[in-house]
Amino acid sequence: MTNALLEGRRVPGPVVNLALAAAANATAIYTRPTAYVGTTSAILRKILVRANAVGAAVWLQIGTGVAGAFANLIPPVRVMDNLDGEWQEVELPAVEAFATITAFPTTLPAGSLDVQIEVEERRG
Amino acid sequence: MEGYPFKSINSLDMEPVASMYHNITIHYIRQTIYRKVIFTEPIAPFQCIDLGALGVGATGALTNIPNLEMYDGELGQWRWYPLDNAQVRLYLPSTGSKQDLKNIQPPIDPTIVSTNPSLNMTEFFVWQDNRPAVQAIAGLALNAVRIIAKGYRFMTLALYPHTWEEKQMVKRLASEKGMTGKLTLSQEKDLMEELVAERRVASVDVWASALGGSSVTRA
Repeated sequence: MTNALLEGRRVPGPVVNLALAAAANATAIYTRPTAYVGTTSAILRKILVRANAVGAAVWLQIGTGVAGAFANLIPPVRVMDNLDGEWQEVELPAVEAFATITAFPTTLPAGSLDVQIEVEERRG
Repeated sequence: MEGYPFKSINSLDMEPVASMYHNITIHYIRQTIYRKVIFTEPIAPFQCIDLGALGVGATGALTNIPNLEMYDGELGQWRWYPLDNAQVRLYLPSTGSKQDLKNIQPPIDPTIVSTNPSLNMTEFFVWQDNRPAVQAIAGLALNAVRIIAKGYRFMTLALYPHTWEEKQMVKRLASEKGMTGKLTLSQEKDLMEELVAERRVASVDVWASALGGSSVTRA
């Protein structure tokens, strides 16, 4: 049973196309708001990925930061071409990000990935 | 007398702060207004304003809510929540920060519906056309910032003695003051207001403004 006083608000990120591999190209998939009164954090709740990488399976890294500052929030997930990549709340550790969430494919033989996440936004 | 502000604590209910023929003392900035309720009805949740689209990280303009204005002689008891993912600050009137602390004015966001389902902590009162204003803060881009309000409408009259007990109390006070002869309506009203002010006749006190807003100097 959850306590309503601890619950955040579910917020979807935009659909983000990841066309470049490597941490240097990590792209924001959820931008942490800084304008709110109080400190905002985000708990990863859902991931939906569509692979356009023809004939390939790739690792999708989800974390915070870019390039050398990138840090994984969860282990990389495997995305298969021509299949939906879906991870629901029960499958995801409730890691809480206090920064913008970024993502990149480790390698990308051809094509790109479309990624969208849903977070539970918590405010102090 | 039953009824006082912010009453619903552990339920989803919202109770009217006063019933028919109850006395009500309305505080508006530095005014004190004594009235008697003669009619009340509930107003189901409705969208009282849409503040429109806001960009990422934007703080919107302080905006009046004309849809929460009341007719002359009427009081509104309102609870509210933002439907969209914004933090919203309340002003009453627009020059007075409502729910204001020394160092911060805490905003209300949509999670209030789960953290405080009765919304009693959002309650405020509007006297006549002394409308509230709100200001929204958007963390993410929003297409709309809709505010939903619900509550009660009270039609009131000037405070004349109505019940037998009130009439007796007015006569007694008149006697204490050495007033003789038949009292005029104006005298009855003045005596009733004095009785309420001295807490000799029951009345519900409500604040229909921020605590003086900028008109009150605080250290």
